[in-house]
Amino acid sequence: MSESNRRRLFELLKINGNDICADCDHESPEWASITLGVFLCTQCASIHRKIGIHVSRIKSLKLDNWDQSQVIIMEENGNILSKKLYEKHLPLYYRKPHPNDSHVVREQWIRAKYERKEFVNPCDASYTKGHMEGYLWKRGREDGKFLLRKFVLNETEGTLKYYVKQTQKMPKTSIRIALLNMNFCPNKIANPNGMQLTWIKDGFTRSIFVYSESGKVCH
Amino acid sequence: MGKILSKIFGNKEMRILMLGLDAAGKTTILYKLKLGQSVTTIPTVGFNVETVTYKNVKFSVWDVGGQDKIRPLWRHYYTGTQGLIFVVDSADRDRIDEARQELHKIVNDREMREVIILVFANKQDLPDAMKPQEIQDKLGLTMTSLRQRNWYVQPACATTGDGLFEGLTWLMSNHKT
Repeated sequence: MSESNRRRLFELLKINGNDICADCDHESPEWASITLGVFLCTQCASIHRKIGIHVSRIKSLKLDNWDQSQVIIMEENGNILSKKLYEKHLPLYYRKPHPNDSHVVREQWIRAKYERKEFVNPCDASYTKGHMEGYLWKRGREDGKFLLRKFVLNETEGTLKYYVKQTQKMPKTSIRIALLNMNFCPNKIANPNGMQLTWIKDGFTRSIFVYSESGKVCH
Repeated sequence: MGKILSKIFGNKEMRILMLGLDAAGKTTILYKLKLGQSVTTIPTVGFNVETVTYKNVKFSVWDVGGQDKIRPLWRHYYTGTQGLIFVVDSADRDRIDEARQELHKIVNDREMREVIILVFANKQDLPDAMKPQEIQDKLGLTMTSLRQRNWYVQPACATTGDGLFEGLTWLMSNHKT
């Protein structure tokens, strides 16, 4: 019995869509969520496990025993069908994770997609509001120490501003989003949510390093 | 002075085996104890071992993977174990009976007859997590076969560290040298 379940399970992996991770497109998934009916790579499966079984229950394709009802869930769902549901309203500009992406990108994607279901019902998603402000730790240019700075993102103005003092009216710097490039660089500044912001000002390239305590803010 | 004191009180050592179903939080507990940080772990295929020194006791903690097909390997780690940490996902009501079966299999093994049993009722932060009393009942710890054993259920949250050192304190104060 368990041998035939196993065979059915591995047959499913050959189906188009199930041959890559449902969340980051990594080849040859070795894990699956029996709550969501999707096949996953080890890194993405780890994040599903971390969130908890109320969102996703993870099993190993090779190291766990599968019963028939669990195989049926996988047959009835699968990566393609699941994308149609959980990525139904995914905006074209939204950046999906790639196989080599950092942990924070992956985790925020998985939480947005399955925990908050932002692309099933997009109306209350945080990225559609057009305005966001919060605090990030910014590395000092001379001493290299990180200090907390207020950042304001404004869609209508098309700017990202940051302030040295909370009460200050004038921002220290106003960056046009169109000229801004952002990279996650957890290793460069030894923080999992580390980012490098680079932009062009008066013909020169400027760069700052920031991090946030919460991965959600970065995303 | 320090040498004399350590001679009197001894730098005790304790060998701990940490088991439990997959995704219970064993590796997260291990590295929270060791590093003080909440790390995102990948499923353990094989084992991790770390020494953690707490209040002059050197714990060597063996954390063995919990996926179905690697559970038969657990028994190879039994020899010399003085304390068992059994980790339970308190939010996983569907598999608490499976956890009970595995726990009884471990503690009834000939080589594990003498070990003291600490249960971490982990993931207490999750919605609808079972409380220690419920875990204790569902794991069958009050059953006749286990009544004479020395066990304790400690509520815990591995990601914040809540309850973890309380668990170690119970282990060292109940460990007979």
